[in-house]
Amino acid sequence: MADDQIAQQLERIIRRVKRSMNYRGSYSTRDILGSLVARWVQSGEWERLKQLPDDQRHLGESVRRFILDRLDQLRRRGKREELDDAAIALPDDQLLVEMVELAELRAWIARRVAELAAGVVDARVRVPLAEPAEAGAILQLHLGGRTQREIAAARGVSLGLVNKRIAEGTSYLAVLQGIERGVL
Amino acid sequence: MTREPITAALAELAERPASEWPDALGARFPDDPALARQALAWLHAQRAHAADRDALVLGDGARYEPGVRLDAGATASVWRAYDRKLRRNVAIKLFDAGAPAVDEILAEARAACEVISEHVVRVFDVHDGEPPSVVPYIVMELVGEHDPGTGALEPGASAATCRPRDLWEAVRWVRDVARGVHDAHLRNVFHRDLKPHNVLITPVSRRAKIADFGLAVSGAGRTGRPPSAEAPAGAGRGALRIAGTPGYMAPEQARGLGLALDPRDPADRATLVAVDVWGLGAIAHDLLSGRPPWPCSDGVEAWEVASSGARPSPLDHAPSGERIPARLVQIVDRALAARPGDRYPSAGALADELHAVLGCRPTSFDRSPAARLALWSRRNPQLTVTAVVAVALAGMTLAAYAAVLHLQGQRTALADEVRAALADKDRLAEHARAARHELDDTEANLRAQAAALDALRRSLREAETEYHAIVQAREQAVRSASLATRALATVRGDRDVAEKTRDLYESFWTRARKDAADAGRDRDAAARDRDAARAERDQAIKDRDAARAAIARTEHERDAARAERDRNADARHQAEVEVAKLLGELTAAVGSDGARPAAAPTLEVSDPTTRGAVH
Repeated sequence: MADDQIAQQLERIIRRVKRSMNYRGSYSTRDILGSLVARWVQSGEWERLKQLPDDQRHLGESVRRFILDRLDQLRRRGKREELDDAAIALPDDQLLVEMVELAELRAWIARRVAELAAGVVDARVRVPLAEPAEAGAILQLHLGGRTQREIAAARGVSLGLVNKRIAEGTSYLAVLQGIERGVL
Repeated sequence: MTREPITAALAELAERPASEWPDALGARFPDDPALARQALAWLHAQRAHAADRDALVLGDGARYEPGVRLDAGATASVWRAYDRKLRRNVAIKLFDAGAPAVDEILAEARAACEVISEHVVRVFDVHDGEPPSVVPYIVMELVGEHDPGTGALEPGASAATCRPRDLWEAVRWVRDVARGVHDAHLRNVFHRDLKPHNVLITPVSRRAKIADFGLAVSGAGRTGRPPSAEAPAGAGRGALRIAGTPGYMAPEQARGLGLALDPRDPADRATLVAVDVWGLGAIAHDLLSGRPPWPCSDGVEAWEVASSGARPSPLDHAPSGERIPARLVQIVDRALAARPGDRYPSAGALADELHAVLGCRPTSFDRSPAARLALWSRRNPQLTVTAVVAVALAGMTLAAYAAVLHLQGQRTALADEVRAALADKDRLAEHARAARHELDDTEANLRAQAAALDALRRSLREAETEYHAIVQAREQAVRSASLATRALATVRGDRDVAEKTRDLYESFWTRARKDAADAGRDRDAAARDRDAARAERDQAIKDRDAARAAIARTEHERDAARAERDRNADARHQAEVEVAKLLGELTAAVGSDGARPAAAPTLEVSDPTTRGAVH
């Protein structure tokens, strides 16, 4: 693989990791749908579909059915009568595939961050982390939608240190993702 | 390879241009290309993370001198900067590359500019990301104050970080925010993402200001994220748009607001106002209790709870354990009412309610006169004390006046009574003199009567003595009579025994005489038959002798009976003498008492000689 191709793939991985880590406090319809898609991935349906040929997966249909079932459950719980008149429009298949990939990546990041918080560093990553457990704990708060200042206040550390640990953790995750994707 | 050389190499290369990294890493790790690639990826990731600050420098670097990072979120970071042109400190919200679209950022800045309020962070400028800037940013008022001690400019912090010191500071913050939201509503700008994180607190005076109009909607044109960014392709007017923070979302907000909500339409405007009123209630709930209305670990879970029609978590105690006053709970509960129509009609109304609570003034819940009076007292403690003292003094004065009037009346009445008493005294003195005379006479009479009484008493004592003597004599006589009666009864018993003995002797005598007659007849028969039965004559003689012996015994017994009779007669005589004596004493005693004596027991003494002869 040429260096420029590797660089492009690395850039894409870094961008995706960084984007996946941008957990927002404020939600939009897409965030809600993204969370529901993440639950669909956790349900195991995606693992089952991945065993099927591409033309038989019908990914969009499966995700759409899961989300609609979920909304229907909410409607049955009580007061979602407004949704009877105006339903949430679901994204097209292409966007759903992107959301599924993003959800997978977020789940992967959440697992790795939990390992870091427990002090476990993947041995394949050879660039050392200064304080893996602290970086993991800070990243967990970051993924929970807390701002850096809130994290600093919660953990009693400086804002600069929080920023540094987030940068280190993001780099670690990007490198590890590159290794798993075979780029590194 | 140990970690120190790698870390040192990365730190050194991070300061150099990215274009130099591949060659430098190849030269640093010539025998380990895999490590070099990892280090390259690491450096790129680090640079991507730090790119925003570079963008700030690259952007309008000539005007804004970047300072320290104040905060960083998911899509943007906030930096302190110095505006060289206007020579003032500002805050710059720098959006990440690829984060919100430029038109959204412009809309956010315009919405904030639309609002003129001391409780809303002002926006000074916006850069849409056109060259030479790399990413867009918004230049805002720096919410900060000079430290009175050091003189240094201290930046503020969000209410989520800088928590209120007590309940009343929280109420002040919510009131200020509500004023700002009301000002925004007056300009048809609706925030829709009210939460403590979007409330900035000044560090010294601790005043609250609203920031982040990223999800706002404005009557001047849709702001925040336009439908194209929120709704998937194909979404029409009927499609719903969810926007907000799940933990602080109004129920109808969580269920989705129509994309075509028009702030200029009264119905839509009421809906948007209700959403922001809920948001204010949510801020109050968080600042007072330390948790949002929908405290869930996961955003989508909070969204599900918010949209399910559940009640927000109860508002009872502050994190410090202090009990939240019922008046505040009522206000927050109304702001968090499930039905938009049940909430406050405007953010200003909520601000007024909170202001009333802070000023100890009655709210819409304090309708009773007692509650209003209590609040007035708390609001005006000096006036209350003055009024209480005045009322007490007035009461005391009235009481004193009444007492004086009462005493005057009493004095007049006493004077009248004295005059009447003096008149009575003279009259009584006259009466006393007359009474004294009468008393002297009466005393003389009494003395005479007392002497007579003494004589009578002496006579009475003598009569009593006599009476006691008579009674004793009578009792003695009664006792003697009783003894005589018992003796008479004994005599009568003896007499009855003697009579029975006599009857027995008579029967014996009768039989003896008969036997004698029979013996005579037998003797005659024997004499007649003497010749025929000499042997029987001897027998008859023997029988005769036996009969004579029996007669002799009988006679002896007869003599004894006669002697007994004689003794009985003596005893009866003696008893009769004693009875006669007793009767005499009794008669004498009764006669001396002046009363008729009790009937003396009558003694009936029969003479046995009159009833039969003893042979």
